[in-house]
Amino acid sequence: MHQPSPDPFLRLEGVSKRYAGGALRAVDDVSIDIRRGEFLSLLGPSGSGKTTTLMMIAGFELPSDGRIVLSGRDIVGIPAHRRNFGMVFQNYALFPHMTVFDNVAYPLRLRKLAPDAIAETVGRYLEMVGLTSYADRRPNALSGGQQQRVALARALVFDPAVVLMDEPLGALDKNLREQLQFEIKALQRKLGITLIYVTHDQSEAMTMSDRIAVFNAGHIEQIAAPIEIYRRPATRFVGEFVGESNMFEATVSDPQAGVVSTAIGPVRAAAPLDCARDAPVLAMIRPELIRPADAPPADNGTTLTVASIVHFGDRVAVEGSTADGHTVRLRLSDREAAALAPGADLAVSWRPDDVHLLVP
Amino acid sequence: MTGGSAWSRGAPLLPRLLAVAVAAFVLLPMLLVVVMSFGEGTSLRFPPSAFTLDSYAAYVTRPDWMQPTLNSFVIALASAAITLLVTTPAAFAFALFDFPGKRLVRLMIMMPLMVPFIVMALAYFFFFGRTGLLNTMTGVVIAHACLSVPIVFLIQSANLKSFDWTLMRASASCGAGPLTSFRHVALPLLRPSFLVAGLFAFITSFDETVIALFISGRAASTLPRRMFESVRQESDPVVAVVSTLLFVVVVVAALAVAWRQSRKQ
Repeated sequence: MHQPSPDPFLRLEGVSKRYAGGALRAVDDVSIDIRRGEFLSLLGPSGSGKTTTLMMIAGFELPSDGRIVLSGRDIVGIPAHRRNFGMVFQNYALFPHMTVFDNVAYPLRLRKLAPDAIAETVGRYLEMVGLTSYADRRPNALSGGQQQRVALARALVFDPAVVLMDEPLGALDKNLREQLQFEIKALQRKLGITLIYVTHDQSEAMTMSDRIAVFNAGHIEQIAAPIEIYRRPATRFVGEFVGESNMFEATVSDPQAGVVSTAIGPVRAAAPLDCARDAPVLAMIRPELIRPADAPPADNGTTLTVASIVHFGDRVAVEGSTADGHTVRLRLSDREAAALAPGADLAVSWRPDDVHLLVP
Repeated sequence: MTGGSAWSRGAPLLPRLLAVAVAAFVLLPMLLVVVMSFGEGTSLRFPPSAFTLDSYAAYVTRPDWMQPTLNSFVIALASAAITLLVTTPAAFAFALFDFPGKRLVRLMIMMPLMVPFIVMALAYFFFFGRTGLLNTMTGVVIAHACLSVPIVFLIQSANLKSFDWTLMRASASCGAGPLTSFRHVALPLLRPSFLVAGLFAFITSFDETVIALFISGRAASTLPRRMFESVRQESDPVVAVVSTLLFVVVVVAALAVAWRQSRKQ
């Protein structure tokens, strides 16, 4: 199994894309180092610049500024068809007038491989995506999931330097999406592919990626491993976009003890703070880290009035409000929530380890 | 919902009668011509006194009918070819790029559709008279091509609008340059609609009478012009034969298109 190598393989240096004579910045000064064999997700809401960034890497859009460097060579001037990058599109983009075999063979025929080498390679990749018996079908005779597997084989078959995927599972239903997430991740690991994956689905990015670049309004808010993004979001946007969160505006009251004061009382973090007294910060606590308690402690806890209870089956989403009307969200197990009813009082607490403080 | 199911559910009587009346109103004059084409004698008459195929034989043997038929085919083919050569790149340019003056250029392409035929006919008559193209096939080909450019441009633009341009990007990502992508992806997928566009150009020319009357002359006489003269001057029953043949061709073509579409679904 391949591990991502530490040296940068593909590098974006200050890449920008402006439209309408420079007035509109779709992508604003984006820099990323992508390692060989890495699975990098570009995650963000629609219009955040992630797809434009991918299209610039692919060569379908020209950056207004900045360099895109592959193995030390600037590729901005190289047209898409000479970059040797595989690409998977959301709407599959299979050639409807070709069979499954011919679709996958297309990149190899363009590279003038011998017919028997083509047959052997295409056969191998169709087997990898489990479509050996569909080789003679036309794309429109296949289901959406099967079509996207063909597109996957077509994007991988010519051993591309980088594979780019633009919301490849966006058109599929939930179960199929999860299955294909698993298959794509397995293929990427097995073949050691450098993969850049655009998605707006945070759970997809969380489960598949080595690292996630979170996009917002044309720039990158944070690039980090998924669990790092979840545990220690760098900005308020990241904390609220990835997963659910309780975010409280706070002021530092004791930097050495790591205590800040918030609308729900004093909150104590595990580590001392590198901030001046009275500096404004944000205190974030994930809903699943807030636990029911026998009695609220002096800090890191409060008493809530339960406002709503929503059952998801495997977990229960509880919303409560403090005495002065601040909302706090919790995730409880079915058993923990069994005794709760709207209007009931609920004492809660959390550990200092679970408090994440960020400077807005 | 199809027409058949409406009938079987018992549509009210009045709409049924109306439908039959409209169909009869449209079809009967044409059927009249079909019957006359089998008539005996040397002039058009209804009802015919006896039925023969003499007029059909006359049509295929008389050079004064065969020559205009051939002329019409040559002119229609040539003007269809020119039309496609002009409209295809234009439609691609309009679909893919924004450029200054785009709306003005589109308006100019559409112009022949708005100018009355008779005005164009007169314009060509005087212009070709000065340039020596009057009474030549070349002149008719050019005039007919101008006439079909707006129609075919509209058809080609609609074709390209429904074309999935992501396929061209997919082709590029596979390693194909723009021309290779056009040859392997765009052309095979667009060929049927290109053929339909060409057919429209062909019919526009083949069917056109006003301009042909003004500029085709005796040497380059087209079939519609010959038919017009025949009716006015000789009342030759061959004209009914030609009409019948054209009618049959159109019906067969329409049925073929309908069959193809039903098979697609």
